[in-house]
Amino acid sequence: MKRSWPWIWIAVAFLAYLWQFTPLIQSIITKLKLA
Amino acid sequence: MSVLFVLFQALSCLGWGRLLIRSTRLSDSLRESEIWAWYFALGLGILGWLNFWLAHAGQVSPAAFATILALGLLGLLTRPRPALRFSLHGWQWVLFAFIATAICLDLSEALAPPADADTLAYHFARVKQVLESGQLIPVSRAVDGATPLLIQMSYLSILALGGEQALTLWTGLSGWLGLWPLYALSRRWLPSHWAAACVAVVATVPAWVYGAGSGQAEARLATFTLPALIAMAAALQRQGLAWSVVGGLLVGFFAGSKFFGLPFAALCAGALLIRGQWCAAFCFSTATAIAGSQWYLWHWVELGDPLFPLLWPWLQSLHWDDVHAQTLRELYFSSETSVSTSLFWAVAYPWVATLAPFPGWEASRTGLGPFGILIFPFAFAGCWRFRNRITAHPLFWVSLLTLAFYMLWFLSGTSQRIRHMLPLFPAFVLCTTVAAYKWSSQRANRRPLAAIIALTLGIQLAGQTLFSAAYIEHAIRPESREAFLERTVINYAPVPWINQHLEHNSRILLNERQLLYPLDRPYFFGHEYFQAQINLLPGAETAVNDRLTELAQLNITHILYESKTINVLSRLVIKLAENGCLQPVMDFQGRTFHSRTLGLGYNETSLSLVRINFQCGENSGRVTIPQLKP
Repeated sequence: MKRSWPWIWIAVAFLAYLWQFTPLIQSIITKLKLA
Repeated sequence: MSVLFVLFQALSCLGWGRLLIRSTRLSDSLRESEIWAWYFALGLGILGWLNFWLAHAGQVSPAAFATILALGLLGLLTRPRPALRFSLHGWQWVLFAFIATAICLDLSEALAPPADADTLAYHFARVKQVLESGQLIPVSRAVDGATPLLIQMSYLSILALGGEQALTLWTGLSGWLGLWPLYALSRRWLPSHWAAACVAVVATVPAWVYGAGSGQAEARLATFTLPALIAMAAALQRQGLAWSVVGGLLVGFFAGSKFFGLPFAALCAGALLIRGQWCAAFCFSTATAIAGSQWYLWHWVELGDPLFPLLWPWLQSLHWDDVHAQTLRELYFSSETSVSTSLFWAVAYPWVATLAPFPGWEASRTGLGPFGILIFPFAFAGCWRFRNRITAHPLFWVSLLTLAFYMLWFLSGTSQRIRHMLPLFPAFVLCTTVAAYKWSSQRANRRPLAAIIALTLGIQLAGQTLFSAAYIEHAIRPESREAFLERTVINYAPVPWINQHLEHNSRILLNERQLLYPLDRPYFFGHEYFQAQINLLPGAETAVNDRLTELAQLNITHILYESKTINVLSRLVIKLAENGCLQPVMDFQGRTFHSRTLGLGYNETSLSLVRINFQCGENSGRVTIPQLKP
């Protein structure tokens, strides 16, 4: 745990950052489906 | 030819900066690897400063600007010239590939006509207006009218000499050159590939991508702020008065470009005073006043308020009144602050703005990316590990001033849009990267930091590609300027007709701010409460005679408005039409876009152009100002 905390932090923080773009990703998928 | 003019201006900036550095005798104190970055930072400010005085004197001919640029070149002729070195090895090639991709995407924007709303509304529109009228014209409009424009003055010379293509290329190039100080100054504490990583992170951050390629000032202000902070750190560590002068000039250029430069200047002067450096504080303040006060003095003389209209209760400007002051306070400032200006939110803001931002912060579209939260614990660990020596480090003062500016900005209750922090972002990236690098050096493990850089660049470059899609499309397919603007600028449809058919002595009242730059006819931007020259507040339209008097005083002959929605101008148009004061001229089909970046389609709108008949208005009532809700 002591050695892996940097990787846990990076993974959690990055996924938390990506979460806000869920609607954007959905709209891109919708657009691609329509195309 | 446009490319040559852009290079001419860039070299002139370097020359002006070199002349100044030599006159302050700082050349010996600066490292050879960073001296050209100092030249550019100072030279860009000097060019904006000189162009202001040229425009103020009514000397806006291409010959006058060419003379200023040529004089700058003289600075490059003197010897000895420091070597300009650049070499790549190892991991730098990978980073260079990232940076090259970002440059190519930015180039696609630089080759396209300007399409950003703020750029069209005033960054470029004011510059075009100065060249057309032959002089500086004060604009008594809050927020984006009576604002300092030092950076935009550097656009004057390039637009006069090379036209629009040269101007967009210059904004593209100056955005990238704005990162030169970050790379050069990072090299004091970081190896070259980590310095390049800092540049890549900042260059691809959404706020930078949004602002650097367009005419926005924030990215170019970073050219001044990081060297200013480094100079202030040297001044605070008593390394010579010349540092106070150079720091003062750079801070003055910041203040001459944006209101936020004023609190920044106050903080720097305050830091010198707190340490009892009276002489340094005097030198700093004098240099700041010389570099940045001209816009405030000019607005004071022309509009009666150096910060128009913020000092309204104390200074009575001719172009403002109590009702508009109250409306601006209640409608604008409340809409710009999504959360309360408390200490809790000052601490929480960076986290919330990164992970779950309020729409008013515009942090998803023009935010500062994930780098800050990803690197935070590593930077904190680095600071903690070396806490006993931290106050002696030059970046201690840089961090302290950056943090103090952030707190002042947030707690002052001004606009909370995150991109206002962009000028300080390179300083933040430098300080956190150096601290995290120290931590990783001590543990001999740089993989987490490398992963942070890779993840940040990956997601940010994907976002930049999406943002640049419209520009790439323009670059690779044959498309006229008009066709590009038609598909990217909201309600652009009336512009080609107006430019072709309307008489040159016509003046159009409109509230489509994105059309100001493309219009080749005189205009007046009729914002509901940013201006008080025409009362467009709800209810004011009933006093038709008063409104007609205001329109006549401003020589307005036509009104362009959205005809199928009730808005600020359609209310007035309805009343004028009821009194027989209008003649229809032309109807247009406009477009508003769901998302230009994603190409999610558009809604059609209806716009109408009408001519004002001033021989009417006998049935008008008296002006009624509505009671504003608390």
